[in-house]
Amino acid sequence: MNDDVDERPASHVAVDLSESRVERLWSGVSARLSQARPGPTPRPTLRPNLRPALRRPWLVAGVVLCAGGAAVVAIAVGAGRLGHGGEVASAAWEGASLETGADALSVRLVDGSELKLEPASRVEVGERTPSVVKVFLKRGRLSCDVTHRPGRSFVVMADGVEVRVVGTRFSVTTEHDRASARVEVRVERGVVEVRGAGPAAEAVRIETGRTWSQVVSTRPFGETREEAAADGPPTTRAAPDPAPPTVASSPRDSGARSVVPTKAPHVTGPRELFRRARDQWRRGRIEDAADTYQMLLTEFPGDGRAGLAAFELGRLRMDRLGDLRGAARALERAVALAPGSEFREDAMARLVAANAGAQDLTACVRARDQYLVEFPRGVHRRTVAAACE
Amino acid sequence: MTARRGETWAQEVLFRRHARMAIGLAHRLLPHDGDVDDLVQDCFVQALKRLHTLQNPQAFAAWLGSIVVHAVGKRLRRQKLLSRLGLRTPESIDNLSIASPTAPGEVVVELRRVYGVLASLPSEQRIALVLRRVDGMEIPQIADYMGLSMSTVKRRLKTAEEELERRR
Repeated sequence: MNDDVDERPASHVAVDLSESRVERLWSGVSARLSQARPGPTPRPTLRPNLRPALRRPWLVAGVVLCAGGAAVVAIAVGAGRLGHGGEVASAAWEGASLETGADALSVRLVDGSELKLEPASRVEVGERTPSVVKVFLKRGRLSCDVTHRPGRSFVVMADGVEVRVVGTRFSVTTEHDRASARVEVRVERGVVEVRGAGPAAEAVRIETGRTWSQVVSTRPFGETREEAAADGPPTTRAAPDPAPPTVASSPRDSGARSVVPTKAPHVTGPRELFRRARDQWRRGRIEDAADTYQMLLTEFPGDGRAGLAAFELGRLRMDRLGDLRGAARALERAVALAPGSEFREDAMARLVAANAGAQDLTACVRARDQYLVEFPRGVHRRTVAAACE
Repeated sequence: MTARRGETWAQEVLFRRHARMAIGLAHRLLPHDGDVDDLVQDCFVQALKRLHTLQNPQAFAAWLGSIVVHAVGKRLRRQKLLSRLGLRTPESIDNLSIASPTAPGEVVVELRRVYGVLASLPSEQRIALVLRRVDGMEIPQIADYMGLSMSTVKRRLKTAEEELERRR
């Protein structure tokens, strides 16, 4: 290339290089790479007992759409078709699973109910009869907008917690650690009945605008509520205000751990923390993601991911949280922790911008000079050179 | 490199480091093509899957660039074939909107000249011209990116630049 990269006409071609475009592309690339990897398949899949299912055109359509990564899939679960769906259709759907990778997936039932499976989530259809539809949330988050049907119950099970609804909009989230899982139920409209995990669990009604959560011990996927032991009493609180509980659920198990209302309770390893932060970011839980990156930095400052975690924390604070001083602190740390990293140049350029935005001109000039010395022909040279004025 | 072992976080770092370069290169070679994102995704998937074959990890950017160039060449040849079969509307490039609003006047003129002639050139001439006139690459680098000999690149450039002069 030419000696002075800034003089290339290429740098003046109008092209969208926004963060959102890069993010979108990475979602696609990571999903395809994950698909190619052995092990669990995170790309959206629909896996009922396919042989009987494929005899039914409406199921075939659902499968094809899912395989193509379609955003909305129409399937007939527990609704009008049940009446004449017969045993074959029922059997076809028992044990069916839905799993998402980087993208969310919406499933519309023929009765108008809609289920939205957030990225990195998995549900299995456990039971489907004219009187009950039971879905097991194995991981991630499931949002449901359930149409009221007389005589039909819609049940979501998550780590032993049972959420039974009549007609409402709500979401269930389960976050796993090595030793426990935190199940959260958030009701946006209507009323749901929640029965916590544990043999002595009693049902409580959760009304619009309230969030219920419980920490339960982790068991292998697929166990029943009776097999799971509750580790802590559930709480309810007004959403979205994370204030102290406003309605206390019945305390059941003595010696139980306290419920953690907003974050998973255990620090595992840096790999898990990094993965969790990415998941939280993808789900739009930016503050949680920033907290998780910070936790990784605090708990594992010597880990190989710490530099990247600091860089990502800086990006989040800068681009999403509007905390330029905090971003500068994180980016300084990224630069210090990862001297030979791939992202060093970007981190240093961002550090200049963050300091400039925070009106810290001394730090800005220092960061700018450092960038220009280390990357005299860097891709951000022109922007950096013009900063701190 | 950790990314070679298939570590997702390392692959993501590599992607974020080079995504804008790849998007920019693909966009300059295929302006106004709605499928550029698909092409860039394909290139990254291909590159990250074959990362173990890259002997010098420091050369990732150039290697990725050559993958993008090959993918663009393939797409251009396919588009031309479809156009000949009447299955696709011949490409038209809006050379007036190619430059960013902040580009200096002489750069705008040069970009409009180059992009005004692109649609009429065969794919190899087109790619060589953009890499030379827009990306400012030297002949050996263009040859590397395109997988051609330097003499072939020179011939392609000579023909393309003659067409450029003819339209002046």
